[in-house]
Amino acid sequence: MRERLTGSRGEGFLALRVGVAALATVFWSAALASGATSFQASYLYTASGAASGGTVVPIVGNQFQNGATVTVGGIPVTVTFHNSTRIGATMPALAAGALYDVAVTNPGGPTSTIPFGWFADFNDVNQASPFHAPVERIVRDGITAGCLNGNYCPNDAVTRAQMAVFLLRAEHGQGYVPNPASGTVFWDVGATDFAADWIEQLHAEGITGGCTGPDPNHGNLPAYCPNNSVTRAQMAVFLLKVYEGVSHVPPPATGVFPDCPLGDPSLAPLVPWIEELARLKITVGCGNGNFCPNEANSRGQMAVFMTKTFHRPEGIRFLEQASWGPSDTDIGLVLAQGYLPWMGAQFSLFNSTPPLMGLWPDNAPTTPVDCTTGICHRDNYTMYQLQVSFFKNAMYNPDQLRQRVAFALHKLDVTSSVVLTRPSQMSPYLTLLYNDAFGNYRDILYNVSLNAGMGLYLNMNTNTKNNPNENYAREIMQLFSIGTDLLNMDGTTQNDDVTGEPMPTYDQSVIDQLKLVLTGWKIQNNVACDPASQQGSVCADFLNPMIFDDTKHDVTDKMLFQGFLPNKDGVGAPTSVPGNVQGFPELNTAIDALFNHPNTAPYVAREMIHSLVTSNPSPEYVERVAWAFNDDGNGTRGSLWAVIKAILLDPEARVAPSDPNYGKLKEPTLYTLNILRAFDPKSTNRLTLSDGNINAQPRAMGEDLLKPPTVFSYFPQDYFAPPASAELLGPEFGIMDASTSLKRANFVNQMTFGGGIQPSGTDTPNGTSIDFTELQQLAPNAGNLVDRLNRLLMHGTMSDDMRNSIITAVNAVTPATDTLKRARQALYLVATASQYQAQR
Amino acid sequence: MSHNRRDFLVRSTCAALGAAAFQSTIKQFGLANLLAVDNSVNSPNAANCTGGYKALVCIFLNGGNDGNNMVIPYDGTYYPTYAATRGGLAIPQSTLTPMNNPPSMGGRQFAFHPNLAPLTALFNAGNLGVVTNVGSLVVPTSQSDYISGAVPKPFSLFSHSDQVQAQQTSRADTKSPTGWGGRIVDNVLPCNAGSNFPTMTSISGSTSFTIGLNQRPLSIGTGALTSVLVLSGFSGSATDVARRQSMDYLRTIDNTATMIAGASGVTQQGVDISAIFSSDPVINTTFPNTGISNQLKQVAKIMKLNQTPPGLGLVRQVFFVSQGGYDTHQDQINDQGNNFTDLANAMNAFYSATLELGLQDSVTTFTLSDFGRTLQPAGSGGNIGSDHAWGNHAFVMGGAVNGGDFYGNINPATGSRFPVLQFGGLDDTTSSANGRGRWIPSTAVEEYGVTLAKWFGVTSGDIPTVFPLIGNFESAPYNGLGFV
Repeated sequence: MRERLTGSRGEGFLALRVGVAALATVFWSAALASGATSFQASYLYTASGAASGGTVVPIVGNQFQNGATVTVGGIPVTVTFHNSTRIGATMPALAAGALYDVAVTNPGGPTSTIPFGWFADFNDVNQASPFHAPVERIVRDGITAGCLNGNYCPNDAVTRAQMAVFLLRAEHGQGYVPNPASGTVFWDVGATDFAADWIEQLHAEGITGGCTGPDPNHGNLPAYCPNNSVTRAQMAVFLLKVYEGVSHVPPPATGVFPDCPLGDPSLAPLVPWIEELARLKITVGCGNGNFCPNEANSRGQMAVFMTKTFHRPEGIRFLEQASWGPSDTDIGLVLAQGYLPWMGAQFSLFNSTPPLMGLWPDNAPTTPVDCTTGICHRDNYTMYQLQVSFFKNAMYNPDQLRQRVAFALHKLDVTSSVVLTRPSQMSPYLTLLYNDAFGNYRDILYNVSLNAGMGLYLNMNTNTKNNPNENYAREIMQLFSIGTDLLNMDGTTQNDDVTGEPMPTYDQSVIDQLKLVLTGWKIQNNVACDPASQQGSVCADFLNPMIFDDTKHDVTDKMLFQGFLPNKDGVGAPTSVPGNVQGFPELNTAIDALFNHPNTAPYVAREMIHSLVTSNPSPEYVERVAWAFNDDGNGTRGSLWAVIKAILLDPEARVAPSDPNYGKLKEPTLYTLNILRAFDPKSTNRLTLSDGNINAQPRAMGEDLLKPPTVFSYFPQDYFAPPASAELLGPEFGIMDASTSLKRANFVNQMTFGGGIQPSGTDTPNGTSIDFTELQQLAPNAGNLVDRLNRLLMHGTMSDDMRNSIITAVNAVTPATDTLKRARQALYLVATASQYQAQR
Repeated sequence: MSHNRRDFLVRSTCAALGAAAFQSTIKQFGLANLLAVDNSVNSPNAANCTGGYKALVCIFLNGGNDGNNMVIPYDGTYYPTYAATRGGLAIPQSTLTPMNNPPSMGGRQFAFHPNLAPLTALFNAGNLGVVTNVGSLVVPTSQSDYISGAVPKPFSLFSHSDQVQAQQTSRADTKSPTGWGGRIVDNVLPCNAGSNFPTMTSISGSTSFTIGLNQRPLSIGTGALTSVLVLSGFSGSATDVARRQSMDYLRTIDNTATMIAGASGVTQQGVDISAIFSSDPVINTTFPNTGISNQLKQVAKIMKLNQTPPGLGLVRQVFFVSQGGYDTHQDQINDQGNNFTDLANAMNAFYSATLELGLQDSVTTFTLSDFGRTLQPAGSGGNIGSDHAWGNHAFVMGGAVNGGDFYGNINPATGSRFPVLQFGGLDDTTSSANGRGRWIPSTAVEEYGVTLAKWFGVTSGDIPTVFPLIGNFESAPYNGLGFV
């Protein structure tokens, strides 16, 4: 695998398809250890840079030691030690346009190599080039090594001969060698001509028939036109025939591009492919709404096309973790930009603030407006507006990563409409989660602690020196920050040497002290209600943080964690909280004590991994993410942005899993949204957007949005996947039972054969439906139909058994010409399958 | 194969295969991941399947029920102490109606919370008993043991999630993947030879209590049995038949992946049991329309389904239901009062339903909860509550119960099985006056469960397998607490 092959005949090839490749900016070693953490170099946080050197690159792994050395392409480099999972290496000057092994060696210890970890940029495609990410990608794929002299020549045209090589490399992998050419397939391709083997193989696979028909002047052989440039139209056909298979028949063209008219006989056979390329967002055209079908395809464009086509499964899989579900639009963006740049763009997106709801009295008034019923009640005394907004944002807003992370934080730092029955009590809490989703976890701990809704939910608002209430003191430790057991950085418990049992993080005495620290905070109880009709009424202020009442605060000196070790090897680290400082200083001291506790990093890391990626992460993975919590690379602790990047860029998230225990069951909200987002959700009449009144669906499946039954969230974080005897975590299984499992299938039935969620009254004015147009177009050929669903919904992992079974069921549809019924049949089967319900 | 996996498993269990042979059969069929027989579990002695039909019904009071206001000292000696220590949480004596004096309590008078009045009648009629100060324990623990740390404490005391686990798994020493209900079911599975219906049914989710090694608990909701497990969208059309065939087939493949196998297994059960729920038995007893009542009514309906020919073929069943809202850090007077109303009416109706079914002596109902709550109130203002604590009281109900009395070990330090209601008193976790009244249990959940399990048919030889910590409390033949 690590041998570099150089292709003959002009185009140099590197053979190095290591594992399933990422998109350009991150690269990793294929080897993943499991079990106890062991020394390994996993991936380069930034995996390419100027060939002239000088780029400082974080190398992420496990059990690095101070003094570790690094070589890049065999050249020793300057190293900065950050922590046991992260070192910085300054890249040397290297020959441009090539890949280099990155090797880390612990002092006197073993070496771990990230094969071809570093890419020294081509001289003519620097980091700022729009072609950089895709060019790096196809170099890593072993498709090209450039055009010699350290250049890629992005503006050169691609010849049809070169194209044959590119496509087959992409299809078969880096080591692929076609059979020798015969010279008898195309009259203009002799057996020893450049790329003859590849061109004839392309023909043998049915991907090309040549550029002409059989020529009677040349023994009835067609021509291939090897030296002609590949046009953009031809490229569309080539790409999709390789990606979707030669039996794939694109839906009929509808006339998407003005310069690809349906009536042009020379172009007509190609237009369906062009339009499919556009539908999959592999192309966005050449500007002005056109496609420029007859223009030559540049090598730069070719790199973009190939990346967006052949790395589609990985882009889709990434979005299963980083969004509410892949849609063709987002897939196109991720593939065009690469993971890290896409995340960077997501960082600045913020469209999904929950609606701010007006303060209404505890009891719904009857005058002058009757708010005990109807729309007034719905909007001010139920979660309707928040739920509807949540689902609309999830379906339509581009800030997908922020939304998914905010929801993960909601499940970690819970409030619930079991208690907070008014949206005004819940909305500020949700808002802070969206605000801080990419911020610092300390801010979250601080802000949720003072949030009035949280104060009511976990009773900090009634916690006074004479009548303490320890509920919040307990749960902020147990659930929001440090957990009940001492943890190693890899998330495993620290066990007592004698009993072998986990060691507690705290006991009642710590809670008794913390509750005293937290005395005196209360919800401002006498502000004016919001709505004009309620002026003069007095409401509790849930829109602002709690306020401090020093008369209710315990002023004795407090000591947190006295007698408790922060970890097994540590020394006792009680935190002194002088009683005379009161209020904010005491709160800050307590929040700092929790935030800085060694448990917080692995605890938060593990829970966020559970939410986004997998229920049973390896200890190494948790450790790498936990260290990102402790140090974002610039010495900042608690950066959720660093944590999220570490979670999603890690090889354990990115490499297609071989571990059968990998992945997670999609919880009802995620499952519902995954299905909707894949198929352009709109109103049932398809004329407007969905109204977002969708919560009845996940609620039936056991997850009532914003109403987790307890502070332990929608399902227990320590619930075992069945069979429990295997002791593998599967928290989402806590709400999947005989009954809710059928509700999942019934939801799919409603969206398919039921025609969607039908409009009903004022609460559901538009309804919600999904688009079957494309599936219907593919439906005459059951294989095409199922393949599309496999690619879009299962990122290409469908087994042949499953595919064949569904094809049989589609072909059994009567009447056979009913394409809608065929499409529904196929989607029902894929979407209800456990193979789809598990996110892997 | 697709829809008969369960049948196969159940029949195999019953086919007098030795445990080892059974496992090898399973492995041969590649189903080990679905069943996962644990070799560490001793092969069971034969459970005692005689005595006709028996059922255990667990009512879990979610959140930690404040037992201090469930069973209240009434007499003039003890009520004042109760009233003084409970402060704003004290139930006025004038609203209490004492039950018949529990014979074992030396003449002391007690009353249930006024909203539990229907249970007072059941108690007085001898069909309901109280187990006092029961809780999670690793070993018998005295106050000085607890303070000095001389004995192992339950892990994560006072934490909801962990103590729910401890209550439901009976393992206060470690986190166990199986619950004691599930382990009892594992043991008595041979009694239900030939049935294709799960022995364990939950009307309240697949909680720890229900999880065993050798069977998959059924979890359904309330409502007509014909409506709880419905797979929509299938008619007899060729299109639908083909879709159903494929759907059923897809559950049987690609199951090497844990998450896929898990989802398929759960769905398979939903489909299988859906076919069995073809009618909704009528219970004539009136149940109020509350969450807990509807759950217990569902239990009664399944019992009736079992006894109405052709029946389900079950001679042993375990049920799990739950009622939420007991985590009363505030508003306790209101919230617990309302909960108690619903609970008492539901239990009363359920007992009547067992009479209707002629099963009153065959069904034993019992309560569990996360933990008890602090004797001392928590919070300020008009809506106070209480915080998490430990030992708690429990109800056991049924014709087989030796009702009308209190059960549980006597704390040698106090000479009573009922806690001394005193901050820092001899039952508290501290001897300091700053104590808030968190009772150290004098009786372990383990002993409580063993008493029920033995009645149910788990033999003495199997008790240590089902309740691994029982040896810390009691020796064979494990006579238990005597309430049933």
